[in-house]
Parts: sequence; C-alpha cells; structure tokens
Amino acid sequence: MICPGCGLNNLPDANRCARCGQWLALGNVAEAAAGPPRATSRRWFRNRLYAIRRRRGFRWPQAAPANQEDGGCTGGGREIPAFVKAIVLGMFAPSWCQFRQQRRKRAWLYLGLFLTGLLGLLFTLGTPYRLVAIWLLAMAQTWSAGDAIPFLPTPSRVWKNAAACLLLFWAAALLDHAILAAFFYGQNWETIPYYYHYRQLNRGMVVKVTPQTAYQPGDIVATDIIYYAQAYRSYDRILATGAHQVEITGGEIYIDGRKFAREPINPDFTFPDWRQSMRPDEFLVLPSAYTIGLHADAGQQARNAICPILSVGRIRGKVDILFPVWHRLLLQEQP
Amino acid sequence: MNRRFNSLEIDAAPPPAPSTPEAASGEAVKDAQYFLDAGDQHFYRLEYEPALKDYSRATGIDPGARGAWTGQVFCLVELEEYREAELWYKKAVEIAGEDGPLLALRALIAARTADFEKACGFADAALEARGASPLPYIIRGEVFLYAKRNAEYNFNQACAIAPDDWRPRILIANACLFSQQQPAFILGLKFLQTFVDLHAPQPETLLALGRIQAAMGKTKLARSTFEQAATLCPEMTQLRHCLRATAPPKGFFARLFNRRS
Repeated sequence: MICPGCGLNNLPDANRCARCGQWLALGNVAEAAAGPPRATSRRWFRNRLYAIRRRRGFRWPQAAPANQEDGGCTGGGREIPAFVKAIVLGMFAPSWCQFRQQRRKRAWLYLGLFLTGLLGLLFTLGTPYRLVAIWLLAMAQTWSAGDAIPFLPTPSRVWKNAAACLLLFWAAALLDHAILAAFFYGQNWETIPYYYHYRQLNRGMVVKVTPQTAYQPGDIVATDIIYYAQAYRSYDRILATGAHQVEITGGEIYIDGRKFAREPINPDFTFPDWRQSMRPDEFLVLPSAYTIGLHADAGQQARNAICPILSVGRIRGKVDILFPVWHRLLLQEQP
Repeated sequence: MNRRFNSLEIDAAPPPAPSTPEAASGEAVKDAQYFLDAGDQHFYRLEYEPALKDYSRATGIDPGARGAWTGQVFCLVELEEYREAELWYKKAVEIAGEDGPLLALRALIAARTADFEKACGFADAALEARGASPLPYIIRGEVFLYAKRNAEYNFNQACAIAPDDWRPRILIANACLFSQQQPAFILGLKFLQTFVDLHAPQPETLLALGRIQAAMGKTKLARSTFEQAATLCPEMTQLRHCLRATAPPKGFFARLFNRRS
C-alpha cells in the first residue's frame, strides 16, 4: 500500500505509514471526511420531553457514601409507577397503530378524538354522566382500532366484522372502566352510592376519606355502621361534638334544650323521637338514609339499630370531595 | 532513484524537499492539528456548525486524532442531535479507540437523553479512565446537577486539573446553563466570575459570563459583558445573537410591558 504522503510502499494490512506515520487509506476515512450524519428533523417534541425529565431529576443509584460528593444532596425526583406508564401507553395504542401504518392524518384524528374523550371524562368525573364519557372514549378507541385491523370486506364477512367491532367496543369500554376503577382503588378514593342524591353529596361523586385526630361540627365524615357482623358505609355531617343533651322531637333537633339551626345533609329525613346524653368523645351524626334497610330487608329493626350518636372509633375519616372539581367550591361555602 | 534513498550520502547533499504551496506562500499548513484548532475555536465560540466541519476535516486527515472525534461528538450533543452523536461515538471508538473524554461524552449523551442509569455508569467509568482531561469531571458534575447532588465538588476537581485554562470554565458554564436551574446558574457564575476577575479577558469567557448573567435575568449587566466581548472579538456570530437578544426594547408598548432590569 503506497503512502500518499511520502510514497513509501507499506505492507498491505498496515494502518499507518512506517516512515511518516500518516494514516493509510482506510475504508471509513473517506466516509469520515464527508462529515458526520446529521439529523433530518429537529426532534423538538422529544427534546422537550428530555428537558422535562432532566428538570425532574433522578436519584443517584448507589447508596450514599459519606464523602464530599454528598455534601449538597437535596433529594431526587419522584418515580412514576410502571403500571401507570403501561396504562397510558395502552390507551394510546390504537392511534399508535395508525401512525405505524403511515396514516398520519387518521392517526392525528383518532388521537384528537381520544384526547377529547379523555377531557370529557375528566369533566364528567364525579357525575352520573361518567359512563357516557367512557362509552364515547371507547367508541373513539374502537373506531381507531377497527380502522387499523384489515377486515375482509366480503359480504359473507359483514356480520362477523360487525360482531368483532361490537366486541372491540365492549372490551374497550370494560378496559377503560377497569382502569379507572383500579386507579380509584389505588388512590383509596371512594364513589358516593346511588341513594345519596342531595345537593352537597350526590351519587357518583368521587371522594377521599382522610382519617383525622379531631373533627369539627360541619365536617362531612364517613362512618361504618355494623349490623349483623356486616359493615355499611355511610356519609353524613357531624352536627355536634362534646358532652351535650341531645333530643329529637317531631323531626327537630334540640341540643341542651335549644333548637339547633344547622341542618343535616338530608333535611327532609325523619327520625323517630329520641333523647340521649353525649359523652365528650362522641359525635352527633344524623343519618341521611337507612342504608341498612336498603341493603337488607330489616325494616323497623334497622331503624332501631341506628343511633345518631357515634363514638370516635366508628368514624373512618373526613370526606373531601375530589370530583366534580367545581363542587369543592360549593363545599367550602357550607358551614 | 527511489525516494527512500534520498538521505544516503552517496554523491552530494540531497536536494531540498519540495515545499507545499501553502508553506511557500507563508500560509499555515492545513493539517489535522490546524483543523482541530479551528474547530476548537469555533466550538468555544458556540459556532457548532463550522466547528463540526473543521473537526470532520481533521478526522478525515488523521482518523487517529481523538481530540477531533471528541469535538465532533460534543458538537452533535450541543446541537441536540443525540442519536447521531451516539452513532458517531461508536464510530470514533471503532477507529480511534476508547478513552476517558469519549466515555464521558457517552455519559453526557445518556444524561441529556434522560437515561440517567446509563449516565451514572458511564460517568463513573470515564472518571476511572480520565487521564489528564478535566472533561469527565465536568460531565459528572452535569449529571450531578440533574441528580441534585454536590456538582460543585466535581467542577472544583476539573478546575484543579487545569487551573489557568479557560476552556473547562466555559464547559462548566455551558453545563450549568443547559441544566436550566437557578442554583446551577449561580454555580456557573461563581466559577466563571472568579476566573474572569483574575485573568486577562477572553471573548469566549465573556460570552459565557454574559449568557449566564442573561439567564439569571441581569439583562443590562449581560449586555455590557457582551459589548466588552464584542470589542475584543467582533466577528463572533453568537455574540451578535446575544446582543440582539439583550437589546433594550423599542416602542411604547414594548417598554411598557417588557421591562428589563
């Protein structure tokens, strides 16, 4: 191999010239001289995602040794659970299929529909219309997935194709519902049951029950009523705390002989006449509905079993309404 | 007669070696080192496209020049072309072999693409094979910035390797600016300001100092720093952009709503 610099005839497998040390013709030298390959697009979106992740930071993987490097340690970022990532990716799968098949316009359309459905779900969360939003979301997913699947358009296949689409819709709706329920369950959120239909506490509302050390009159709390070894969850307002003489006569509440102005969640609820003294660690919680009577055919026995005065142990926690979001403001206005 | 026998003392003194046209006309010989220096000059002036071309020419002339490969990969990282940087890093390792700075650049690619687990591993490995280069310490410091650990220790170590060199300071400033965190800006300012106060002003250091000041919201101060740099080296293209960005707003509404300190 002839050196281009000094003309020395080197051995054929030599990389450098034996005399002047210049690099001999390598296969990749010409390629390197042409310049490195450059990106064809700016990858703006991906780089912004990288920037967000960098800003969030990370936790250094090793156990912290006691040296100078750890002097200014201020903690790391928060880890997203793997199942959340899987759920989010799974929800975007139909649109991703379209992108993969090079149908960009359709993919953006389906992605837009999906995001609109997701937004609708966010708005209807905590209302009875949540199921409608889930159906709309499932419909967008089914449409997208059905478009991505290469169905055979023969007449004999029409019913089979329609059945497959229905099955897809059913599966998507079930999956979305299950994901939402799993998310609620994972966050320890609860849904108000159907027999609550009051202004401050309506069916379908999503609430969070937070145990607290002390409760104030006016707080809405979750209580467990034990009836024949079975616990029934109910949500009601604390009307009074501390040692009082409580009396219910003709549907009116009297505390220490004076008529009480604060109303329970269901002001129309009738309770049999009743009188009792409270201990300091007890709360007056007038029930809004005979929840036990709704579940079991207990009738009058259930009424007798319910006592409006609850001890601290029966109260599970304070109820904070999460969804619908606008209801939080309404709740703050209440006493 | 074969050229390899030119130096033998057979007849008389050998004829003088034919000189290149550049040498004859007094120009610098455009070898790999020339392009490497030109690339470095462009790189520290934040002119990454011309720097990339110069580094590419240097690697074309001398594929064993690790500095040129390092600069080429660094340019691609600074241009946020991480996939290409990773590709070209592999090619550099294939041709020129692995070393500390190149490994540190791999850590930088991983860190900037938010693959922090890899970044930690490569940063540690680069530190073990660093040689005399401060780059592994600087890049480890940048990874520490994302981990919210003590990056200052690493930057101090990098400056201790070359106390009178302005290049590590600029790399530190760039790392701090890229992290987009206010504490990092303060850290970068600390390293650069002390150097600028003690040494003769360089246009590159003044440019980096001005950028940090602008990032911290001290626009007027940054503009005066840029103007000082412009008197030293008016042909820096990045400086023109910076001066334009820190120019006082014109017009009634601009002055009303876009007030700068």
